[in-house]
Amino acid sequence: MVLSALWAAIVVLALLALYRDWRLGVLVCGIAPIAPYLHITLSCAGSVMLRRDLEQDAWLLVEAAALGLGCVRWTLLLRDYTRAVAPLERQCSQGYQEVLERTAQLEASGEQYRALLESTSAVPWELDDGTGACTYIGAQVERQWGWPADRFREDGFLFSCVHPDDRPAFAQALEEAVAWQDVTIDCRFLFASNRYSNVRSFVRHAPDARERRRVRGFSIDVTVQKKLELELHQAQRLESVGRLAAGIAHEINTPVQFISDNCHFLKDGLGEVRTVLERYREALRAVAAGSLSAGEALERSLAEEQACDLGFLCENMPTAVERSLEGLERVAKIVRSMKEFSHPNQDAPSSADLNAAILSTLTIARNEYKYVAEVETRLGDIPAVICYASELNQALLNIIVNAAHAVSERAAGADRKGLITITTAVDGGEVVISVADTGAGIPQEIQDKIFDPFFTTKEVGKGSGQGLAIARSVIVERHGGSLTFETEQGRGTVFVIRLPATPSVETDTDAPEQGLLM
Amino acid sequence: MSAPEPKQILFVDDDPAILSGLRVRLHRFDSRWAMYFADSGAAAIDELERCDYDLIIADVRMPGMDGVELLRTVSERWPDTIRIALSGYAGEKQVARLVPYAHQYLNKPCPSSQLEELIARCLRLHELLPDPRLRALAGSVRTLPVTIRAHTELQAALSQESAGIAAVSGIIASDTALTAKTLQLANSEFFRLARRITNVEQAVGHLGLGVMRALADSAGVFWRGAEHESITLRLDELQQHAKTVAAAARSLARDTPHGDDAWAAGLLHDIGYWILARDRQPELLRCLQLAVAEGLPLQEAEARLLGASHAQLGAYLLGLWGLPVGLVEAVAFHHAPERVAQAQFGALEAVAVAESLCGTDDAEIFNGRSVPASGVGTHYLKSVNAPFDWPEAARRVEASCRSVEAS
Repeated sequence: MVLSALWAAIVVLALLALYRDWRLGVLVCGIAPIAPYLHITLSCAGSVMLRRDLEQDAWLLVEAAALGLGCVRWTLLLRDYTRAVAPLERQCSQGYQEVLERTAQLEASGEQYRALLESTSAVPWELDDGTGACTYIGAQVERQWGWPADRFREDGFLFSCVHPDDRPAFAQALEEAVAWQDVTIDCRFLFASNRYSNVRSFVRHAPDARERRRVRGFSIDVTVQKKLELELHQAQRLESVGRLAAGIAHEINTPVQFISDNCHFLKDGLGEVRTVLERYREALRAVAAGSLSAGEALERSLAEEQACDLGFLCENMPTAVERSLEGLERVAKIVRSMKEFSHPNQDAPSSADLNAAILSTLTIARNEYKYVAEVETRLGDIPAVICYASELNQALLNIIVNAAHAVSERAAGADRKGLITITTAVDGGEVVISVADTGAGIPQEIQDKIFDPFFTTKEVGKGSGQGLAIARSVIVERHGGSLTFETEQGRGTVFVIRLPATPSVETDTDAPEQGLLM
Repeated sequence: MSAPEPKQILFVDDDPAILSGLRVRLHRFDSRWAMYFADSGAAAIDELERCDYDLIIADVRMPGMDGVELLRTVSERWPDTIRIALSGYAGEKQVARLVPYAHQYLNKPCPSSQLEELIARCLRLHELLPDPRLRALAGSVRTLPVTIRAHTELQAALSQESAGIAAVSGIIASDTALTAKTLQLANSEFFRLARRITNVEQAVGHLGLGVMRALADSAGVFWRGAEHESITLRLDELQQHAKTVAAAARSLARDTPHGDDAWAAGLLHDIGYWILARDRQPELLRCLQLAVAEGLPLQEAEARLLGASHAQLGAYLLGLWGLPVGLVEAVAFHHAPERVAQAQFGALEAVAVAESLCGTDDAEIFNGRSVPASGVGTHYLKSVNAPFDWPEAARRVEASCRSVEAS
C-alpha cells in the first residue's frame, strides 16, 4: 500500500517534471487512490497472478496513456512554437537587413555631411580647451590656410596661430563659449604663407559627457570683406565730402568776395589819403615859406578832402580792415575745420575732444543747414574720449546732415527756419551726444529700417542711404557705443549717441600688411 | 549840360559782410550809380516796390525767398530791370533753374573790375533801346520758341547715353532760339571762359552734355513753340531765312577770323522778330501795313511805330544775355551797317552783305505781304575793304543758299 502510494507520488512528480502539465498530475493522483481498490477488487475476483498482471497492466496503461498524452502535448507545443517563431525569425532577418542598410546610409550621410562641411571655405573645428589641441578640424584647412590638418592636433597649435595682440581677446571668447555663450570673434590669424589674415570665428560650447572643456567653431577668412567694408566707408566719406564740397566752396567764396571788395576799397582809399597828405605837406611848406596864408592853406586842404570824400574814407576804412580780418578768420576756420574733420586715417584710436569735433563738423556742414535751420549747441563738460576721431566726425556729420534734411523737408515753403539742438553731457560712465531736430519725425513704418544700408527716403541722387547705417556701424561696432532715436510725428526726432567714456575700442585690423612676420 | 540821372542799382545778399564790401568797393561810382542794398528777397521786393530799378544783382542761395525766386518775381513784375545773379556756388541743377530768369551770371569771388564792367555794359544797353516799354518786352523774354522739329530732335539726341557733341550741336545750330540760349550760357561768367564763344560746337563742348541735359529737362529753358501761331509771320520760313543768311555770312567771312561770329550773327540777326511775333502781334501787323502802304522798309516802319526796330530789340536781348559785343553790334546794325565805322570786314558786314544777296522773298515770311527790301550795294563792299568783289560775294552766297536748301 505504502509502496504503491510512494510509487504513485514518484510517477506524478516524474510526469510533472517531464511534461510540466498539472493535468497529468491530477490524473495520476486520481488513479493512485483507486489503485488499492483495484487491488482489492481484483484480489477478490482472481488469483494473485492475475491480480498482479492486472495491476501491472493498469500501470502500463496509465504510463502509456501518460506517455501518449505527453507526446500529443509535445507535438502541440512544438507546433505552437514553430508558429510563433516563424514571424519572429522573419522580423529578425529583416531587422538585420535594415541595420545593414542603415549603417550604409549613415556612413553615406556622414560622408555627405563631412564633404559638405569640408568643402566650404568656413573651416570647422573642435577644440579641447584644456589641452589646446584640435580634436577635429575640417580637411579644407590645408587648402584654406595652408596648414596640414594634423598640425592642429598638436597641443596649443591653433592658439599659436592667433596674432599675439589678439590672443587675450581670443582666449576670452573661448572662455565665454565654454560658459555656454555663442561668440563671434575676429582676429588676425597666421596662415602657412607667413601672412596674417582677418579670420572671423563663430564659437560655441560642445557638450561632452566627460565634462571636458570642449568648444566647436567655424572660422572664415574675412580679409576681403574687411577690405570691402573699409572701402565702402571710404567711399561714403568721399561721397559726403563731395557733396559738402559745393557747400564749402560757397562758404569760402563768400568771405573771399568781401575780403577782396574791402581790399580794393582800401587800396583805392589809401591812394587818395596819400594824395591828400601830399597836398597837406605842400600847403604846410607853402605856409612855412610864407607864400600862402594859413587860411588859404586850410581852405585848399578842405577842398582836397572833399574831393576825395575823406570823410567816407575815414569812416569806412577801419571797418573795411575789420571786415577783411573777420573774413580771413572765417576762411581760416573753415579750412581748420576741414583739417580737423578729415583727420588723416588713423590706425590707432586717440584721445579727442568731442565738443570741438562737433563744432568743426558744424562748420563744415554749415551750408547744409544754414538756410533751413538754426543750430543751438549746449555742450557740457565732458571728458576726452578715446576714439577714431575722423570716423566719429563722419558719423556726427551724417546725423547732422540727416537732421538738416529732416528740417528742410518740413521748412520747405515756410518762412520759419527749423531748429537743430546738439547737446553733450556725461551720464554715468558714458558720454551722451544728442542731436534733436524739429523735422516731421520718422514715420512708424520705416522706423525699423532707417539704419539699414541703402535705405533712403530721399529722391534718387540726393543720398545713397548709407549715412545712418555708417553712423551706427562706426558708433556701435567701432566704439562699442549705442545709437538710438526717439521720434514724434510732427514734432521731430532726437538721435542719441552714447559712447563709453573710456571705450574699449576695437583693435584696428585694416592693414594686414602690418601683421607680416619678420 | 546836366549830368545824366544816376542809374538805380539794387544789391541783394543775405550776408551783410558782402553788402558792406560791395558798398565800399563801388563807392567810387556813387556819382553815376545810385546803389541800394537789401539783405533778403523780401526786403528787395519792398525796395523794388518803392522805386524803379535799372538793374538788380542778387545772391542765389538765401534763406526764405532765394535768388531764383526773387529774379523770377522781378522778371514778372519789373521786366525792364536787368537781372544779374551773383552766386557763391551753383551746381548744374541750380544753373538750369536760373537760366530762364537771370540775364547774366557772376561767380563769387568775382575778380576786380569784372562786376563794374558788367554793370556798365548792361547799363549801356539802355542807349540801344531807350524806350523802357521795349526794354520790358525784351527783359521779360525767358527763352524763345524752339521749332518743333529741333526740339524733338534735341530731346531724342540728349536722351541717348551715347549722344555725341557734334550731333547735339548740329541740332542746336539749326535753331535760332536754341543757339541763342546756348551761346548765352557758354558766354556767361558762370562757366569761366576766358574768351567769347560764337561757335555752337565749342559752346556745347565747353558746357558739356550734362549741362545741356539739365537745361533740356528744366521747364522754361527750351520752350517748344507752336509752328504757326503767328498771323504776321511764319516762324519756319524765318528760321530758314536765318539759316541761309548764317551760312552765307560764314562763307563771306571765311577768310577772316570772324567766320563763327558772322555765322552766329546771321542766325540771330532777326531774333527781334521772334519777340515781336510772340508778344507784339498787333503792333507788328500795323508796322507791316504801314510799310506796305507807304513803301517803307519794315525796320523804318517799326522805328516809326514802335520807337525801335526788330534789330535793336534783338540786339538788346542778346546784349542782356551777355553775348559778345561784336555779335550784338552786328545784329543791331545789320540794316544800317554804314552807321558803324569799320575799317575791316567782320561779322556785321558779312551779315549785311549776305542779307542783301541771299534774295529771300519776304512775302514768304510775312504771310504774303511784300515789303520793300533794303540792302547794301556794290559801293559798300569797297568801303569796308572786303577781300572780294561783288560778283564773288554773290557766287559764295548763292552756293551757300543752295547747300542750305539741299540739307
